[in-house]
Amino acid sequence: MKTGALQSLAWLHTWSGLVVGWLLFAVCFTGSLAVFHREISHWMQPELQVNAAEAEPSLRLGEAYLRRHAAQAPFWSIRLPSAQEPALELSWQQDGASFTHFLDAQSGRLLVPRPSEGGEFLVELHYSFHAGTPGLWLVGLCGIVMLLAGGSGIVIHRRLFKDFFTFRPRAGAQRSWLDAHNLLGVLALPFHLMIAYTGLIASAWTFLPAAFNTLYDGNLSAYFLESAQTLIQPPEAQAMPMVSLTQLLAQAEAHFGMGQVASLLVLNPDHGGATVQVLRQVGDQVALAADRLTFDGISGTLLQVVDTRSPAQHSYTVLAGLHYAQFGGAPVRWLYFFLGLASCAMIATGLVLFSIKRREKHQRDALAPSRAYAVIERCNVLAVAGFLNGVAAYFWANRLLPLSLPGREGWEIATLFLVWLATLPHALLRPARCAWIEQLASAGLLCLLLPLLNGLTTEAHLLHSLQHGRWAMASVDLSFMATGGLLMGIAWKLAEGRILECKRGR
Amino acid sequence: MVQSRTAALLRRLTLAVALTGLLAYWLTAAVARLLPLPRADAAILPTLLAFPLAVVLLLWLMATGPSRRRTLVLALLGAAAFCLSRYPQCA
Repeated sequence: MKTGALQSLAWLHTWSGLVVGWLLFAVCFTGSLAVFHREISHWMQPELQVNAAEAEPSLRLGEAYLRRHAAQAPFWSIRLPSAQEPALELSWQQDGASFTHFLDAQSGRLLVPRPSEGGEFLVELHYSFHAGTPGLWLVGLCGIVMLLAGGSGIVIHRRLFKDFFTFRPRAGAQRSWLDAHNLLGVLALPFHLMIAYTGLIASAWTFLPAAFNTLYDGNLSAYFLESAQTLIQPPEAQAMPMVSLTQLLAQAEAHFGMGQVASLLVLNPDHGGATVQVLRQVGDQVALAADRLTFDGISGTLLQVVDTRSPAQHSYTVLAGLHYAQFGGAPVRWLYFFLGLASCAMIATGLVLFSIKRREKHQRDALAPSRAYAVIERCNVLAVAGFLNGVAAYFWANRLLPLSLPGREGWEIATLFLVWLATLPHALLRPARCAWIEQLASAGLLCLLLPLLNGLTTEAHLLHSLQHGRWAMASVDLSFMATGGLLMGIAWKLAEGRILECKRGR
Repeated sequence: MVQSRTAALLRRLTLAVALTGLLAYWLTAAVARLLPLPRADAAILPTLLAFPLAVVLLLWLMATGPSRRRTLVLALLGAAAFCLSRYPQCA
């Protein structure tokens, strides 16, 4: 390839990486956490710690509860207990409002969790940056730029195989950071490309609505109903007794296998035209599409079986499934978690490399320090170390905010953004290296102390979780400790011989 | 010198993004209209393929530069795709 072409692609790689890198780090980091969003929610709502119960008695309990509390609701959703989410979750809509209640399926006790968005907020931060449709577009732009940066990176680092085995930690700052960036980029290259592509595909109709506008006149609901082969009976106003849901569960288990039913949706319950959808769990398949049986809620007649899809729809669900990582259990999710962290590290090393390269060039050419590059360097600190502080503060807020605080879940979220914002003046006022060290150390300390805070503020401390086999809680506590240790280790490494300089503020 | 090179690359990027965006949009719409598949399948299939193809096209345009001839050819292709998406009977 001609030098001019390589230079163009190198320019594209550098600047596209920098411009979206700040946001992309947050997207990748929250994406890594999002694979464990259920466990994180579990940790953030320890009141939901119960032992999972069998499907049939749980459903009987849920059905009776919904008849008592949501008899007039047009829609019920029942999520049966599982190892990941052991509480029975009942949701319904009434008078335009949505309700979700949790029950201990063994005792029937109503569980009242603390108000918190839990891991769901991290998922939302991952795909839309908590900014609705504009945020979704911004994250989509990040995804496209990640693909472009990946593609241009492959072309400009043509020695991919050699790069994989090259890491010279003592060969000078620029060379070491470049080796680290290349190594992390090559190591997880298929993952980087796959996750960016499937992320775009997951909201394809938003980012490229051409075909949907052409064939559906922009009516996406019609597309979703058609592609999901949804069957809905017209609702009737006349009250009619429904067949028992446990009877339908038994039929569904005979079709899917014992213990395979994940949830039930009831449309127009206890009225004419009642429809019951029984959904199978998706954890044993890559495709993110639940097989489904649809029954007439009044007669119990099986109306529809959805367990096959067209090749085009299957392709889509497999690609979406690759992104959401609901298959393969804990090993696959841990793999995604570490590969996601490798993406974060690749982005962070790329950002650092950008600054070091320009700083060394300025020193070599005896030029005055550039104010623009100094600001970029501080933005790097803010985007990486500042964001980590914000996320750690989100978990602290979950344990420290009063349970009776109105709008508590909103305050948890606000804490993340406020702490992140508070790291901005620190990053601007301190020398860049000191800002890196201090912010990484503070994020590390916040993470390291989280299990202690958890032990002091709840009964679900680490030893209790380990003794009672509550692995979801224990693994989150242990992950906080590991992350804290890692961040403290990086801060320590960066601080070698520099602590006195930072104390003097140089 | 450096600034003029950056300005030239920014111009190249702007043109490449505009051409790729328009072409990706209207080609996807045209292919969706022409595919002899059920409507839901015809909508999703070209959309799945459009993203990687658009990235490759954008990288190629950035590497080689959207010359006048290339710009004209791609713009004509986009116009043809637009017409086909509106008037599929022409195909």
